[in-house]
Amino acid sequence: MKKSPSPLLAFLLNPANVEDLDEEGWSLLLAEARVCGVMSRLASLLMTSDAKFLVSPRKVSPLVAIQIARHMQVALMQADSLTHAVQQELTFLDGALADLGTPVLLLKGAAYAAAGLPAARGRIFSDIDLLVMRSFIPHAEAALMLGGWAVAKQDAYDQRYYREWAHEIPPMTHLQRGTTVDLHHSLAMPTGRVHIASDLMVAEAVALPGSGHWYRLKDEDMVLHAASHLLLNSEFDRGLRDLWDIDLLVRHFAASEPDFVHRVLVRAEQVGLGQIVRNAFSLCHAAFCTPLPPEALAGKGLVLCLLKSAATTRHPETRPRTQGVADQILFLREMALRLPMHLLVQHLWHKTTVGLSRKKEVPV
Amino acid sequence: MQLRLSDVSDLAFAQSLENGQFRLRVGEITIRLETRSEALRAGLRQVYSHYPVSVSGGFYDFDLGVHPASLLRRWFRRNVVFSLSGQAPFLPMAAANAHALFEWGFNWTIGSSIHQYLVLHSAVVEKNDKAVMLAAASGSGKSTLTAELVLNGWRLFSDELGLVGGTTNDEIQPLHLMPFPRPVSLKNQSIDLIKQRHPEACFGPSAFDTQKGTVAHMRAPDDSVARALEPAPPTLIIFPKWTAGAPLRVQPVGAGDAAMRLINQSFNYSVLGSIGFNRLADLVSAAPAWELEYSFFDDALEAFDDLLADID
Repeated sequence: MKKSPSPLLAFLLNPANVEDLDEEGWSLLLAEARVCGVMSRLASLLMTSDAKFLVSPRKVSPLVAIQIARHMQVALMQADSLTHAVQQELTFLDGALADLGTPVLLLKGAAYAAAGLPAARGRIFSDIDLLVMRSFIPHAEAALMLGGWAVAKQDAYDQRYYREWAHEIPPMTHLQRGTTVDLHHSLAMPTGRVHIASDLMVAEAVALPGSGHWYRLKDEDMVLHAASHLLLNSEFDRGLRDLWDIDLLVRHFAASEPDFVHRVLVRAEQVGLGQIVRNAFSLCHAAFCTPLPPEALAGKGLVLCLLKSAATTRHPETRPRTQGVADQILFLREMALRLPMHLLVQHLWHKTTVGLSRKKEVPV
Repeated sequence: MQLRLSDVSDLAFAQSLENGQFRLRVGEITIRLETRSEALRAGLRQVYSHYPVSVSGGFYDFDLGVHPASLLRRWFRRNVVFSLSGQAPFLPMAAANAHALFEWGFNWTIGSSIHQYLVLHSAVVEKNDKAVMLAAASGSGKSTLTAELVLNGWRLFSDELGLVGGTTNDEIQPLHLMPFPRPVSLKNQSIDLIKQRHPEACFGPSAFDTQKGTVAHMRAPDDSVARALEPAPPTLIIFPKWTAGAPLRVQPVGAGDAAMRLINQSFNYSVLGSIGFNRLADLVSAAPAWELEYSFFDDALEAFDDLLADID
């Protein structure tokens, strides 16, 4: 396959870079945004809500411009529809968890949305992530079951994986609405080799404004959690979006707190994420020119090189040639970080023998 | 795009499919298709010869691919996989069935992407600027009836995707159904039935042993493809049902009932939110709905003409 320069990466460095794209360049930009799951966020930067281009495609025919605008409008509508659905779901969840008697934290996408952060704009996600202290997990699970959410049928192995080792219980799906909640008790796998002071971060959570009873991680911890999620999980298909989240969070918080980045670095040392946040910041700076001081950019190691290939554009025409290999190595690294050796061997053996494929038949 | 696929040489066709320069336009949508599959190339030649294409690149809305599932499967299992923007969401299929895989993947792409329309899982045909929607679950004979109507002079909009756009009383974008004319997918006995009744009908390759049994695609009429950018107002909604030996039965369906049934057949009703609700309400107000049970095609065709004549 012939390789082309990436219009998406060019846009992320500077939106004005896409003005000179030709028709195929715009097509490729949309295709890259689709495969990286950032179409709605791209649309929110390319277009106003009343369908005017902010960065206009000036080298394309009027008909093609209309077609591009349609794709953007559809992406904006999907984002609006998701925002609405998330608000509605949070209202239901708040009702179900009202009498729990412990703070319930929103994590990632749901937290960005509830806090009205720029990172929420155009961010498409499918599950709502909640966190309660471990001792409250049985109460929270029972309350959610009363509200109509249930753990989907799983084999005994997966149940055990979640219940004994993981930092969350198995996903709970609402029986009528089909919406999914991930209920966590820690920000990272307790069995993991990277020890994160999750309890410390949870203890300093702040209440969210609004009518609900929700909490979120404090500003620095939000950035740290996003960084640890990016570097300790192998969900690379959303790697670029997760990196973009970090960029948007940092820019937003730093605008009102001048020493914000410094505070993130200090906090990172406290909770055990010093190197991880520096690696994340290095990637962020390379992709988005995020304004960060030199001491924040001391990322290093093989993992940084691998992530440069993985947490980037994933379109076959523009992705790095090393992406496939990098994905594989990072996947193995993630498993190794998550589980101590005896559990890892057990886990890989089980997954190899039962197979991991989740694909469906093509709908006919 | 002035070029038709029938104008393109075999060499230019094969090369453009391999190097990413091939574009196919269906209505408002242009796809880039990349493949080295001979089976797919042959299928496209048979049922897309009259479609506008480019072999020298240009804008595309969606980039689709049909490729060997993996190096191993390329030689041993002979499987191919469908991809949208490089992502392969579905299980591989036998390489010989590449054309059927392409058709299904294309449908899925449209159904999950073009939210400027309310997309209903239904067939649409048109006559005298009146569009009729045939909404029914799989297995009710919807596609077979669509093929029969199209071979009797009705214009084909789609046998699978009803695209509802606009709003009632909107002067710029009135309520309309948009054509998306593609080959009509027939299965099992329907294939021979249509071939017997209409020896002139052209078919692509048959795909055997799919999850639907044997499947073959009937070429869309020239006129339907040439007029793919001409929408029409929705005039009738029919819920057809073929039952062996049953006498013809035509029964009205209330607007509310019709709306509920259509929601169940929608690809993107929930994505559209209030737009979807309003558009569906406009649709069932504009187009009366009927249930049609039949065992003979000729009865059904006559019923279609009668119902349409009553609209004036």
